[in-house]
Amino acid sequence: MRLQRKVAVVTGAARGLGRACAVAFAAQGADLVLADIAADLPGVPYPLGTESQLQHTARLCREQGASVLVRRLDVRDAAGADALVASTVDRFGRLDVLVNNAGIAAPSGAAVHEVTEAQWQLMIDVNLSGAWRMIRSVGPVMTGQRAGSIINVSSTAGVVGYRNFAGYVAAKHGLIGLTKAAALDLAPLKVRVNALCPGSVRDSEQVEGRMLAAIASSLGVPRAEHEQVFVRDQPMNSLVEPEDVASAALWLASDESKQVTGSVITVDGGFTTR
Amino acid sequence: MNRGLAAIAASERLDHARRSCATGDCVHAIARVLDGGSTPSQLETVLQQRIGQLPLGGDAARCRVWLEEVPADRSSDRAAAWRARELQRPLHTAGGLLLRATLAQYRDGRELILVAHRALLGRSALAALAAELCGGPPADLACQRAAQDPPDSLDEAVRASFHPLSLDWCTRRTSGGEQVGVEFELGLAPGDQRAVAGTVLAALAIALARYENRTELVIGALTSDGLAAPEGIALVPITVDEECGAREFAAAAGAALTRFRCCWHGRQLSQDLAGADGGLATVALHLDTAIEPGWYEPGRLADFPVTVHVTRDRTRPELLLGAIRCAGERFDPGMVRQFGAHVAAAFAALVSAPDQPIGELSLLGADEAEAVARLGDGGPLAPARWPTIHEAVAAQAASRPDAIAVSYQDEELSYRELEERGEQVSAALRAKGIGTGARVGVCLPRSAELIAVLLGILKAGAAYVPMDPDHPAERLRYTAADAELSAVVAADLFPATGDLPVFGTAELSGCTDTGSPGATGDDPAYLIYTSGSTGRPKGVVVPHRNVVSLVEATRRDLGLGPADTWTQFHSVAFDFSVWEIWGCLMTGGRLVVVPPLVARAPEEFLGLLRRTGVTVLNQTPTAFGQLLTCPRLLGELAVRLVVFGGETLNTKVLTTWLDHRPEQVCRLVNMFGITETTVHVTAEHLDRRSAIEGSRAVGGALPGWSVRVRDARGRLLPPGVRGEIWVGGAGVALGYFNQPGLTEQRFHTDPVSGARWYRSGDLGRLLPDGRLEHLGRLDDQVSVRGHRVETGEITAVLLEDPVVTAAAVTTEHDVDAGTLLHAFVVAPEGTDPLAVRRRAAQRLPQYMLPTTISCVPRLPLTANGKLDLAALSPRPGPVQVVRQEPRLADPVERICQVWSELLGMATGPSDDFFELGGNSLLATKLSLVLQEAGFPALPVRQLYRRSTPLGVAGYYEQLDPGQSADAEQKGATDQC
Repeated sequence: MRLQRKVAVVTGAARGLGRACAVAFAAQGADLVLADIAADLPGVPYPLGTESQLQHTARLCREQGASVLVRRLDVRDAAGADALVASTVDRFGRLDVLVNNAGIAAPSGAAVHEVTEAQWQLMIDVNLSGAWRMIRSVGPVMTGQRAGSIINVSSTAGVVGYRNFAGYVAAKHGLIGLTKAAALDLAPLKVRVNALCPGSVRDSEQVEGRMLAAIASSLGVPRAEHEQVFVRDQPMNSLVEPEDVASAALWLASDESKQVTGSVITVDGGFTTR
Repeated sequence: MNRGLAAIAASERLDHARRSCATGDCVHAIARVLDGGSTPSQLETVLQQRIGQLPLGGDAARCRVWLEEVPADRSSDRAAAWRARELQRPLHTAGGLLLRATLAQYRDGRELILVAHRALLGRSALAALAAELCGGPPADLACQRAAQDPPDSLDEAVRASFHPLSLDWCTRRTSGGEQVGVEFELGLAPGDQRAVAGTVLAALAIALARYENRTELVIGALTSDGLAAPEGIALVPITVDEECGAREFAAAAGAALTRFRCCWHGRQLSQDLAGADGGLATVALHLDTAIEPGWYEPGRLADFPVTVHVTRDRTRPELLLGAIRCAGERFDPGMVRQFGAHVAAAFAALVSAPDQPIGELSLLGADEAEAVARLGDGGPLAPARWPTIHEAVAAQAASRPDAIAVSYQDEELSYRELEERGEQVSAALRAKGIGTGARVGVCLPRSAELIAVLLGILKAGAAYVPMDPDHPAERLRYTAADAELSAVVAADLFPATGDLPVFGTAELSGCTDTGSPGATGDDPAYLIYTSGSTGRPKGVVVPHRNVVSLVEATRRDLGLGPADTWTQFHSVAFDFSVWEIWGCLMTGGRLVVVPPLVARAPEEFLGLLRRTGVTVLNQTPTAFGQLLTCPRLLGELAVRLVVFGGETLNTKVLTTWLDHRPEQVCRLVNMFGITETTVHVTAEHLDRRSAIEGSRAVGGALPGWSVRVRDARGRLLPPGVRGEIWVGGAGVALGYFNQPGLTEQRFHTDPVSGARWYRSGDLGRLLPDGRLEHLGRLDDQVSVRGHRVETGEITAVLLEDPVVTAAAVTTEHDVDAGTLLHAFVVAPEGTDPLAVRRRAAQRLPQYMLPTTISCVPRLPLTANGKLDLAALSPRPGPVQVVRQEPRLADPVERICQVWSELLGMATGPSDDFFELGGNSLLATKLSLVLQEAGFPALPVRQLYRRSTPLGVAGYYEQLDPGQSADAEQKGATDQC
């Protein structure tokens, strides 16, 4: 039980990487707080996680023996983030892990000078500022405990650039900067902050992933074709599985990585190595 | 009590409660089946109402009932795991709420779990509230509402008598991992509730007293006895009086429980009484004998490292169950389990034998005692073929007469020659009427001849009494008289002692043997004198059979045989030499006698080891440490076995040796032993792991030897508990010569078996695997560079000085110089401490001379009127050196300066190194610091020859006239 007695908050937990991490944590003895917007967003051109998916994630975690608190949360809502943390400590008495996984892949597909003000704001507000808001809310609890691990889910787009993805790339790069700054701020108080950079993750059925489909559609390309191109380019010639990313998150969440902070872990089949 | 004070008290309690929430202390929980259809919000309403009425209830409106789905059946393992997790879930500090309510929805039913801080809800209140929420009658929480607290300041008597417990029997030195929780059956409850409480507390106190070796204890106790009063933890002082009857003691314990009560949730008493890691270093007892439905999790009582919970068995309420929980991860589950079993044993004894004095109560059952005894036994020892030392040596000579037996510098004696010389000595002695039953003193410098003389004395049937020629005359005279010697064999002038005949070695020849030796295995082989605490050394009488057994017990395991070459490094007056000499000769090895100056110079000794191909090296750890200063020479040695003895070994130094002589090539064995039990008692084979872990184990008893660990009353102690080491078996000496009183005091005869045991005065404990751990001394005996020293003997000698009216001796451990002795004397003003030291040197051997002697106006006393050794500063001011010398050339002054820094005191050009407190260890260091100052290396033997700065300057002049004053480094060509 690598996360015995620990309490983890996962945003974007309804499906995809969020679900994969939550279930992996539950299997290792953690109790979970699952947060997701569980509704569509006007500016986002593809369906986001649903209430039913969120409850299913909770069920999967409970089957692993975890106690689960489920909350709908828009990470642009600071008061909501504070309320979530307050409920967490009331229910569980502590807060050990935060996985900042909530994020949107689109609106994308436009060249940098063709992105609208609203599209840019939305990208930054959800993908970057959302993570900061959550850190701000959990900070007092974790520093008071002198223990905590914050995992920011960035992307290979946080390390290299992609065409027609300016907002996403900027936000994901910003997330790594936030990781490093936060790591330095919180290190004296024994709270660690690290970034996880998944490459292209397969849209698995189990976790009902959607990212690749969303990216493909914003590029105007059929998903299967997008996948093929990608796999061919990938040094390991396969897509990353959600469990691969969850394993890395598990290591970062547990005390096994207690001397690891401010670091960037890429799980990308070698994509960014070239 | 007015509301103002009540408010303060409440907020203090709240603060404490919040602090302890963070550590999980003082939080308990209950889980009960919830039948009926109450909805979460209905439960919430009732809950908020109840909590709102309590002084620490906080913002009751925030009190929620959390709904949790558990996909399992209520009676399943999965549900049990989930429930346990929920019952132990902490409360959050800053939340301000000291309660959490969770409603579990299992597949087949519901359960309510309440987690609360004890300051908010005590045991009974928590149970009552849970019962109400689950459909029972309204809870009466009046006592919890009460604004009046009993005085929560600590009773002065308790504070004064509190001493932190060591708990060393259950703590590991490295953290192990999981939190320790141990369950056991305590026993059938006697009579009424009050008797239960008293008896349980009494049992715990007795077990603790034995484990901790104390009679005064302060035990934390929390008793949950209904809603009558707010729950509190009391610190109960208990005196374990050995003569007190069981029933009486239990009753007194029970009374103490009710007398000392304080609601201490509101105060952090640990500030006053904290142990090293901040907790209250004692054990807490939590007696919770109510039987109620549901699961109760008592949690940990704040700040106590060990808590003993006692409850009733649900199906058999007359059976009491015990559970021990330990805080943190440094506890040893095996030892905690053993302690639990002993608490149960004490409990059973108190109940079944109410009139027995508790001193006679045995924690160990008959089977257990037998098992512990077997643990300390070294196993059977086959009888040796030859009953006496000299017969064993003769057998070796018979089979290999031309093999070399002894060598000293260029001199060699074959076994045949050794035997012949021994026979001559023996015949000569017998011709002078000295034979079986006599004692012959030997005061000779080291040589091959010395060995032959020892052998000759044994062949004559007498015992040899070795004396060091370096000892002061007074001491030699004393030994000769005390041992009632028939004669002394000496080389130089031996101080005249009445009409005691003194023979030179030349006189011991020219006779032929006529009679048979007549010595049996039971006859004394030697008398060796050891330091006496009352001021006079005492002679230990050891018979042949003990030495024969020692060699037999170690021969096979250590592979001793004719292929080995040993050193005799230690003085014959030190019993380690018995092992070196006879261990070698009785197994057919070759003995290399080490000249004293070579023994004191590590590089020279290493050279000797290499040249002579020594395979078996016996060393005290201090001397061994010296060898490690020249590590690059170690690889060239032939040593295949190193035996450590004489003092405590710090295993960490072994890594350097192992780097140059790995375990596959050379075995390292640490042997604990005492003169009174014939050199060695236990053997521990050491490897790299022992060195890294800094192991203090000295191994299991040798075959034929036995060890026991007993308390001051002689009761057998279980493994892990420290006490005095008793040694029995083949090595126990006959006693102290002519000291029947002292002999009876230290040598104990078992009334049942007749076996003889020696009480070592050493502190130790048996490990569960049968190895012994040596933990120091029970008294003032110390080890100085391997020599056994009673500080009492030094004090006694100082007191005999004409000007000294009071004296005390302290010890200091110096990294370079080893153990230092510092003496403090009360003498008239103007007394020259050096003069006192010189007078003491007439009575005490070099190693017992204090390094410094300071004159003090009076000796400090503690509050109880006892000598306060701790107040005597370990680094007294420098001894006054009364010397006025004219200014001399630079080199001498520079040498003086180097010396002053090394010895820590002003040094004049004519001051003697050893008089100022230098010793053989510092001598080696002196050469190094002189080289650092630009002088050539100073071999130790040169220092012994010219031990003043003037003398050393002269030596340098000799080396290279005119260059000794150079600042150039002369290099370390022959230093390592």
